[in-house]
Amino acid sequence: MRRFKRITGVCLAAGMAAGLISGCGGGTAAKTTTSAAATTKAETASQSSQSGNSSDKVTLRMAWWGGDARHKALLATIDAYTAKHPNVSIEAEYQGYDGYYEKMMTELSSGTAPDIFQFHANWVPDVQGADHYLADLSKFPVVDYSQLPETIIEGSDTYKGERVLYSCSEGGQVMYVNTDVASKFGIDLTKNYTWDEWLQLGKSIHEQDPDTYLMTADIDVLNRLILPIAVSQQTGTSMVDADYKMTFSEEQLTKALQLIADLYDTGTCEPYGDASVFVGQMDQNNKWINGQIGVLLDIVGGYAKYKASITSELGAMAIPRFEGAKCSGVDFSGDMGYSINDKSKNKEVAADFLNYMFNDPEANSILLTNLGYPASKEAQSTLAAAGKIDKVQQDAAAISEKDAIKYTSASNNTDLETIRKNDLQEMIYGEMTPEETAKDIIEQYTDTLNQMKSAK
Amino acid sequence: MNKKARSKIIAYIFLIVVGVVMVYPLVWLFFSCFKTNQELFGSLTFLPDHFSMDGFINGWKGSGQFTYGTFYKNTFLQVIPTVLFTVLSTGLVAYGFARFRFPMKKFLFLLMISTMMLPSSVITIPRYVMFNTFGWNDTYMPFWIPALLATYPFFIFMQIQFMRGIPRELDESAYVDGCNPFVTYVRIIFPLMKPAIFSVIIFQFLWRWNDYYNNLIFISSTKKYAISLALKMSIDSTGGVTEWSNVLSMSFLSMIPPTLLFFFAQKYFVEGITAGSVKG
Repeated sequence: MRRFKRITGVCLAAGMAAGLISGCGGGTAAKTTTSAAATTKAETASQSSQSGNSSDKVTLRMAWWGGDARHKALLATIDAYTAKHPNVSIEAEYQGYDGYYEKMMTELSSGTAPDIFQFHANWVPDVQGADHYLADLSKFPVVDYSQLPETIIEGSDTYKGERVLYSCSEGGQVMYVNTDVASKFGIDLTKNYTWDEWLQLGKSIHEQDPDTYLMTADIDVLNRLILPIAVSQQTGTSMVDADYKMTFSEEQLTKALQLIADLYDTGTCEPYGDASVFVGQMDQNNKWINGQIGVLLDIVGGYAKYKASITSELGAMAIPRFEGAKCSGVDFSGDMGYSINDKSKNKEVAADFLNYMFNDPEANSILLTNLGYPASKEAQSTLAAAGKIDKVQQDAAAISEKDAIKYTSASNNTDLETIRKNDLQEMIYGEMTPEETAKDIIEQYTDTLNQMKSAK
Repeated sequence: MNKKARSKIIAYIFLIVVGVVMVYPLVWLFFSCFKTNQELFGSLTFLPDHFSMDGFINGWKGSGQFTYGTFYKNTFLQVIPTVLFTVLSTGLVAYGFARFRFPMKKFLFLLMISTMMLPSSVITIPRYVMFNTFGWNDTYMPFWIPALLATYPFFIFMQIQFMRGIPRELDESAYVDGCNPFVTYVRIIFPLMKPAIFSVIIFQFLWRWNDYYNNLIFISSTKKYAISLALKMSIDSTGGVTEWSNVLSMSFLSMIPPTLLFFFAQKYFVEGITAGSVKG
């Protein structure tokens, strides 16, 4: 009897395993067929819409992420557009940032994505590399790219020769300053410090007031901003070039890592453990809010958040450099943008709306800086003339653009980021010296880059 | 003071301390509804400087297009049918397993239990693909239909256990009186299952009410958002300003319906937990 039970048990387990496997297999098969069906459907539909009358009723779906201010501004823009084009209605699908990318990926791969959606320039290689999800906007003459700087079009909007994104904001890294702290401790906003001067300043501030630090940085700021900037200042180019080759030497990387170690040793940076409570939300750091931290390092797009977080005036200043730096090391590029779903049935209309959003003065006056610091030169100048862009935000953009470079997309690869992140943390916790860390990072970089190269 | 009283006092002090620790986050949430962002993150004070209803008023308005009225309506529209369907379907399935003999019963029971052990994230993709093929995305069908088809093994299992405690003699006397099996369930078993059914209602209501993940996957139009999505709607970690008092006020409001349900159904709920234990 017992043996019989055991045999039944084994059979059941096998049955369940088989069920699981076949279940998954069926899933993928179904997925391919549905997406194939969706493509053919979309093709026939787009042919019919091209021949169709422009006064046909059209409903577009549009997705974006943002906060309340952006939601309101975009909804108003949609209303203004549909008032002029009564045959078009646009359904808005908006949400916060968390989960947006995952949701877009799911919808794109299952053929249920909206017609037009907000996208990040850094996501383009992964998404468009997987399949032709984003429409080539150069096929739609109505989309006017003339107001975007060539560097943004080339650097952020183009993928494999196709314009798949229309950048709505631009920016690079900059330092945000609590001006009250700055005047108290003599931080000169107009000066471009060298790292040595910066460390000295940080040390003296911390010695004057042990509760106060010159700056704070969480792991992402260290890993994505400070480390690449410190390396690029020495090499004058991004860490990895377009051919997946490292552009830096072990010595240069060691110097950059040593800088990070020094930031903590001198008390320039708030202790790592304290700062890590606020990863991704430095604006909520109680020391920053209470004026015990003078400087934060982030992208120009974060301006509104930091401005609202403190009662004192917010200022902007340049990131310190090594002596004899070849460039500022800042990655100045397109940030967010909008793309059109290649499977959309109404790409023409979507393109017309996209153009309206960014090139129509009416839309610009509604959107203001709610989509970040505008990339369009026209929008920049009209908004600045009308006093709609804060002087400080303008300064921040100008500061980050000066002597900046553009990182390659290989350089921003997430696997490489993880390698740096893990080693960096070990170094900060004192498990490895900067020299050992540099050696290890280069070793892992070599492996990963080889894999990336062969996968290409 | 005798020894008994003293130990009672100690016990009460202990309970009060634990109670305060448990309730503190909720009380903190309530007072934070009135704080500005700077107060919230910059200071450790418990009470806000001013009490104003701005957080509630502005929060309720949402982001302009829809108010929280819409989101509450959506949530009820999604959750209430789901809960009802779950009660109806899982009870019937449990009845079948608890009272009848049929071929492959053991195997089917094992299969049902094994789906309980299966992490739900494993079936996310196949489920999404399937519902997408049916054209159910951006509707509440992915919530309603699985509930109607008794895909919640935990509730089935719970009700089977409960049903085992109901004497079979009751069924038999119903048969003698001329009931068929279905009527026996409706007239005899179902009313006796009240405590178990209240547990199902409370659990399922809480879980569906708080469900963020499935909403995020299946619902795309803002006009169909449930509260769990709506609360996240204005949090932009990439640079936007989040008025936390609005978000927290709405979070606080969103806790009220499940809490009320729990209080009103508590009598039955507690009965449901303890009922089987004394009958033995």
